[in-house]
Amino acid sequence: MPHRINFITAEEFTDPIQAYGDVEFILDFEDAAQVLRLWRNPHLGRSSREGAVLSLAAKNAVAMENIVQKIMTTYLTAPEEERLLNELKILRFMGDRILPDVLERVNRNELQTLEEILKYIQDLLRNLKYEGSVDLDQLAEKLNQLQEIIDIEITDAFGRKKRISRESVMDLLGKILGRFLLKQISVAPIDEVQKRPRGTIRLRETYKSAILSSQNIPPTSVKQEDIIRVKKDRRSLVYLIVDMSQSMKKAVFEGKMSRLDGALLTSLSLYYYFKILNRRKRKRFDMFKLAVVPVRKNPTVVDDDSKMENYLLTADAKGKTYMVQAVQTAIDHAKKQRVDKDIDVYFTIVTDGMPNVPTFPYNYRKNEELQKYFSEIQTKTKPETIDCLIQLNGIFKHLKNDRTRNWNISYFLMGTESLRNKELFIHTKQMLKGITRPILIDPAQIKKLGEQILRESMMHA
Amino acid sequence: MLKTETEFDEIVRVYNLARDDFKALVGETPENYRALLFVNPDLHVSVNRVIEITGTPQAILTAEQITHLKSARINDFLPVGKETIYNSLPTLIYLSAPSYELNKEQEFTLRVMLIHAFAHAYMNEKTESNSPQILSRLYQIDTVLKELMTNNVFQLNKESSDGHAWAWQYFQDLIGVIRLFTEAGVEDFYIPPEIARKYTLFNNFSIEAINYLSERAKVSRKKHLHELIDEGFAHYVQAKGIEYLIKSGDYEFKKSVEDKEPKLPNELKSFLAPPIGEFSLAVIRRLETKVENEKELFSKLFNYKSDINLLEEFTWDEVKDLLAVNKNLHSEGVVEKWHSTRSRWTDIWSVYAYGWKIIDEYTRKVYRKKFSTFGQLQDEKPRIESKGYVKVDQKKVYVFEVNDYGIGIDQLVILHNHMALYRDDFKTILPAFADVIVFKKIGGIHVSTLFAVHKTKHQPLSPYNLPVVTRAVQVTKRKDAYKFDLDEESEDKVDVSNVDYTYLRKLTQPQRGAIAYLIKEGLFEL
Repeated sequence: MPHRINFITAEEFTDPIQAYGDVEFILDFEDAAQVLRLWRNPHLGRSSREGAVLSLAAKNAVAMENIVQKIMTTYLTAPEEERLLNELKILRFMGDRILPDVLERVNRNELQTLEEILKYIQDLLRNLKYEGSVDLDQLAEKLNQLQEIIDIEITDAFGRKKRISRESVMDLLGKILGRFLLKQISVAPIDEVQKRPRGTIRLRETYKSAILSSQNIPPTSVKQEDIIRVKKDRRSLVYLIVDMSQSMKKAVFEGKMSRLDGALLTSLSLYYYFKILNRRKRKRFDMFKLAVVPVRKNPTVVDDDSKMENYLLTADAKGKTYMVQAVQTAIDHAKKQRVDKDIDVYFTIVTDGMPNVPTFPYNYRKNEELQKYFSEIQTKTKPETIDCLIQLNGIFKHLKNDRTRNWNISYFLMGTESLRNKELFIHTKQMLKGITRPILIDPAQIKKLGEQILRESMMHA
Repeated sequence: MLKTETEFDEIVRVYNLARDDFKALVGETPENYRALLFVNPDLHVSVNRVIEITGTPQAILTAEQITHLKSARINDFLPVGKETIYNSLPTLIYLSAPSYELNKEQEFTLRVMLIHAFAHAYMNEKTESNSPQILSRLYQIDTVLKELMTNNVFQLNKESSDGHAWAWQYFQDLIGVIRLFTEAGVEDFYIPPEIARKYTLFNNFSIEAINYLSERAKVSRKKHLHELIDEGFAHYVQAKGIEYLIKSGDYEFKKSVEDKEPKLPNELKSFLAPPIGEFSLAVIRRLETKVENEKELFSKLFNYKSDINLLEEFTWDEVKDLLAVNKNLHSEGVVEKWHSTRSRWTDIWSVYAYGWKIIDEYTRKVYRKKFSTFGQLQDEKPRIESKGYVKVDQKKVYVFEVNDYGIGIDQLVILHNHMALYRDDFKTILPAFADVIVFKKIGGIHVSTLFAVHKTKHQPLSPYNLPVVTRAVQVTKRKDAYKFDLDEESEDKVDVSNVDYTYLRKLTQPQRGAIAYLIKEGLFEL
């Protein structure tokens, strides 16, 4: 038989141990809500935790088999051999002792947090100490694997699974949601500008003004005065004021999502939307900054990652609607920022009702017309709510007349179209007269909440 | 081309030397084999693992297996330089290419490895057993399946507008799981009817794949058990070869002072250390004492169809003796010879003892129960076994016992879908509503997993995207094992009074307890 030598490339002989379908992780909005819920409530993730124990055990067993083979067939240096023997012992101990116990405790719902699991394992380790011969430091390191047990398993739109640690849930969710939003809408559309030496030209606006000045479509010429440039280095502060009162608990959206879930997800996606946007812009400073102001008894401004995480984990729909106080907090916060004139402040208010706790002291001028309106009509609305509305109106009017900054206010009401005939809508509309108009958000459109808020408040402001 | 030829000149020279050696040792050379030298050693390890897990080098792994192996690779747990020979006809020899310029020690190593591999090839050419032919057929089938899968994933992705990101994994898992099913002969397994072929590409693919897999199962069951003879012959020739090479005086190895045995190159460990070589060589040597000359020995070995023929040359007491004596002999030398002095003897020996235990079990089964084919061995301890089903309000929950690491939670989806489709109206493989319970022993846990799928409102985007409940509980004899205090979820549970356990079979009491617990805990409305 003739002997031949052939050369085979890696393409012709692919590695059988390779991962397939490494595509971008795509999360549906409903799934995101599910993850958020799991994150907020560790009790719900038990099924996932049990699954985690199983996969850890299987991984362990396969690793043990391979180590046995390796010790028997591969020539090893002394330290390498020591490492493998140690690993083998540790894996055996995990598989035989730790994982069975952990599984049972997960069944019983006894182990929910990382601290609980680690403490429990430390107790187990004491037994092992007497048996000796295992490097305890290394074991402790190995046990970090068990963090997976309290991790959250997320499934994307295609059912691909990803296990993430609790610390990175917000970042992952935020990035996915933010990118999702970025694909739907861009506050400063990249393809609509043209970079020129004398500044960046906004194409659409320029075109529009050229049409107006030349009274022709298409415009006959673009004159110098038609050209509209991007305002340089203008900064925007966006305050998302989110209602956290009792009524937000209602499950209204598809998939049993409550208004609170929707509001939290929207806050997160907007927060990351601006974060990603800023990163893409590569400016010296952040052009946009979003802060969330939850409407609750002692409102605080959520403006960094750790505060955001805390807010997402602890937010709860309860109590009255302290809207006036939240708006005041936001104003104070905004006024403390750079006293630069080129700063725009956007107030985006998302609520499902009317404010009902007036504030004292109140130092703004009350609008007589609005007072007159409320005194003339027959209404079931409580007097403190009316007080609040009058106060809010006063604050907004004051902001509109403020020359130091540009204050933009948009007001979103969660509810269906039928709300238009209800007192809630009519009063709100009256209150916002001369400032802005209330925008209805359909609960079924929760996925588009973020998009709608951006479109209505930033683009058409 | 000229350049590469010069690069491999050294290897080709050693290869020709090894062929000459083999001719000198056995009298003839094998002609029907292929040797693949990997420049990338990782690829060699991968192929080795695939052969050991699935039986052939081209078989498709499930996503679960890939994940585990990848994690083992990252931790550097995978054995390197293991003997990787696929005993088909032509024999496939996989080796990691040593460096282009060989020093004396490397040359010796490669020469011994090649002699060993040629012995396998020679045996496969000469043997009366059906093992090489069947392994070739299995190789062919696996290659076809791989092509089939690749093409179908490609086509499916081409036809659909949104791209089926899941298709690759699903097809992989499908083939892996069904391979397991058919090999173990689980009769509850669903096979779509021929008419379903024309409706979708997917149906067509699954019918085609299942046909091939059932052929594969049928063929592989007939394969003669031939491993002892293969390894024995190869180790016999290899031992002769080492002696011959040392005698030739070309190579010099340091001798330790106490005994006169030379210290052989470290890279030969995988050919010299493992128990299988020790034992099979001892069996052949014992047989040698019973025959007149080597020629007769070889012709006897070639005539054996299955390991049982070889073992039956001896009485059971003799076999037991062979096992015990050689295990003791092995335990005396192997740790000092191949392992560092810093490791504890017990730690290392326990690993080898485990290897001996496997050989002991195998020999015992083959000798006592007169097993001659792979199918018989398989039936003794199937890797997957059906235990019937439980009926919960007209809904069937199928029960299995699995002894394989290829099935994880993702693969349960496939099990689930196929169980659900065990009915007349075959439409699509996607959402379906029968559930599975799987018993599995993983390390120290004997665990029972429920995999339940609830009704979906929307058409899911992929077979993995189903609202699932996975619950797991240990199977134990402890009395309080299934009495967990879980009052907080009581309102979620359905009334499960209507559970019918009569269709279950071959279960232990703790297993029944686990089933009852899982049904109570897991089958509530989402």
